[in-house]
Amino acid sequence: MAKTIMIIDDSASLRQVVSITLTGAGYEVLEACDGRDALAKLTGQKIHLMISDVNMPNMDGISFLKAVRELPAYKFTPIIMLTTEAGEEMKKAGQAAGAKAWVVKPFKPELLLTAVSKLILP
Amino acid sequence: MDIRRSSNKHGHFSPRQICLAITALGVLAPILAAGFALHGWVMGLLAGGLAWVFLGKIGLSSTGPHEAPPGSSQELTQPDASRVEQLAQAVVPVWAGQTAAVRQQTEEAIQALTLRFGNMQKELREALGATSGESTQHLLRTLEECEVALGTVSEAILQTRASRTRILERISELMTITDQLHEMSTEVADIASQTNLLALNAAIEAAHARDLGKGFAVVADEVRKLSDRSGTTGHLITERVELVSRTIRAGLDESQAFTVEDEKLIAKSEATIRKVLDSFGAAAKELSSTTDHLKTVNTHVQGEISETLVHLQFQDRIGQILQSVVQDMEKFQNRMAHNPTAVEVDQWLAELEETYTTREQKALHHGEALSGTDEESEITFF
Repeated sequence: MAKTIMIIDDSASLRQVVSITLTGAGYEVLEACDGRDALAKLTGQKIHLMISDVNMPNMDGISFLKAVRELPAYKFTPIIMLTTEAGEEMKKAGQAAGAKAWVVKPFKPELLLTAVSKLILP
Repeated sequence: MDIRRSSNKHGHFSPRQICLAITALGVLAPILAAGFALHGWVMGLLAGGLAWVFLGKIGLSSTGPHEAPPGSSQELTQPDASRVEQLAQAVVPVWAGQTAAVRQQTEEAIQALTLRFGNMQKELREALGATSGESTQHLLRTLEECEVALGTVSEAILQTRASRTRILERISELMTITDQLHEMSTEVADIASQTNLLALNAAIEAAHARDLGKGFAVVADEVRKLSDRSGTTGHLITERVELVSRTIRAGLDESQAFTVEDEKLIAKSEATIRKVLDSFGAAAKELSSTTDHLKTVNTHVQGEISETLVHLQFQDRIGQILQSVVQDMEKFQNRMAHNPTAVEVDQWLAELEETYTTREQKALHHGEALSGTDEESEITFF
């Protein structure tokens, strides 16, 4: 059975690129346009990994990370931050909030897939 | 640096206040232009043009992003300030609207492009699966199985030929035996003839002996009759042996003729089997070669599409740059409308810098040249 990954990004085109990359590798994909939308869509889902942007309207990526870690079902779900932010301070904030990896956009599909296969839950 | 000290409550603008507008435009215009220039768009000219018009309207020229005009005691009059404020109120929403529209249209276009490239990649992947080495390998395996099966048929034919040869050898041995039988039957006929001659002589001798030879004459007569029957039987045996011999000979000749034909047929069948297998082998090899070539081309095209998908992600960066510009325009418009005198240039710029997420925004903000957009993807594991 294919594993499910949730993509959280306010850019529809970016979500599309990530989705194409992941579905091409055999993963199921769920999409959300910001942190709030993602939290609403998490209920009743079995998510094996999440890929989230940082700068988003309504709820940014770091706030989303903190909120997700409060949910018992997703306390240990690996989350990859995929963002244009490359600053060390922001990375540290992501790490402190519970991110497992930080990928700077634009990403190479094979690099993202490497990170996904390394971190995704069995 | 509080510019409220240099403006009066009637709304007069000092050169430093105007400097904020110039500075903001000086920073935003190249960022906006760079955002578009990432993909060669000429719309960036719009920002520069509008900035030039704006500056022309207020009768000043830009001195660069961070260069405030030297402290001048000249203050704008009330009508000048009103015109600046009115212009800001009118033109900033237009800029923001235009920029947002461009952002939206670019996003939609990139989405459509991404979808198409994604579909192309999917179709190529499926096409590669359809012509994969697996199916070629399957065909090659089938051909190998056919070769083995046809080889078995060929071997069976050869075994049949060997059996036929052995039977012919046995028949040839029978021919030898029938020849011996023929000689023996001839010998029997000779013995009968000789016995008949002896019986005749015995009868003559018995006649010479008159009454004393009567009994012997009877014996001689019986011996002659027996020799006659032996001779007849000998002839019959000879005839039968000759008949058998002719029949075997005919069968042997016919079998040998068939054997020659069989040899030709077997050789022809083997040649046909070999030719068919060679043709299949050549076809499979060509198919395999074509598949390999297709695979190479497919992999190359998929790589190109993959690279294209990387470049399409710059829309996201452009979107963020434009969003930052639009937000600052809206902030500028709001400040001009509500509290135009409470502005601090350095603070404004610092707050603007806080909104940046990309390296090029930060570089442009500080007047540095862009290092290019082909950044390597970075990944950090925690």
